[in-house]
Amino acid sequence: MSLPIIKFLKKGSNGSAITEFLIFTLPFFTVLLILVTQIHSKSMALLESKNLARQAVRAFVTSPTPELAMIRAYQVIDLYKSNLSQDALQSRPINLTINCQEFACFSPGNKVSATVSIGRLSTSTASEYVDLWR
Amino acid sequence: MQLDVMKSSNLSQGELARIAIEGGEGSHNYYPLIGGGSLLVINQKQSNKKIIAVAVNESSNN
Repeated sequence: MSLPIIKFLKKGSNGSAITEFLIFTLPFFTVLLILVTQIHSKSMALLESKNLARQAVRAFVTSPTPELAMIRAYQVIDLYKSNLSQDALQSRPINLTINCQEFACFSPGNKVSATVSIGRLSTSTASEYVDLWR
Repeated sequence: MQLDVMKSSNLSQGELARIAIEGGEGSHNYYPLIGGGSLLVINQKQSNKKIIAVAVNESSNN
């Protein structure tokens, strides 16, 4: 009964190993490569936005006067942008928003948050408190 | 390659933050901020990718 099946299994195949390898694995590796690149871009953008938010809020709270606080935070972003290439600036616009827990923003003990968005890839927020002795 | 870029970014940022706190020498540029202090910037290229790290230095003496 099982003799035809064994004969069928023992029969040699004319298929090419290279062709089969390409057909079955190439799409898989292509998708994998795209995925790895996307994860890399996303994590780099997240790292970038987190650090920029931290440094911008730090520049804000270390300001000597309330008038200069906002200017200092935006100056950090502008200096960072000046180091980027034109292509990077156009493809990933960087925006900064400063929010405060209470008005006036630069008052002792007030919580200040900086939100940095880089294109559509990433948005990060960092918070710090204005020194109590100011 | 991509992991190397990420590793370099983190290391550069860590080195810059340490210089901003403790002071010291490094391969960074220095931009003065309005009202005092400065912004330390590392701008280097690795594997055709630009690595930029920034840190706010509260004291201009560092």
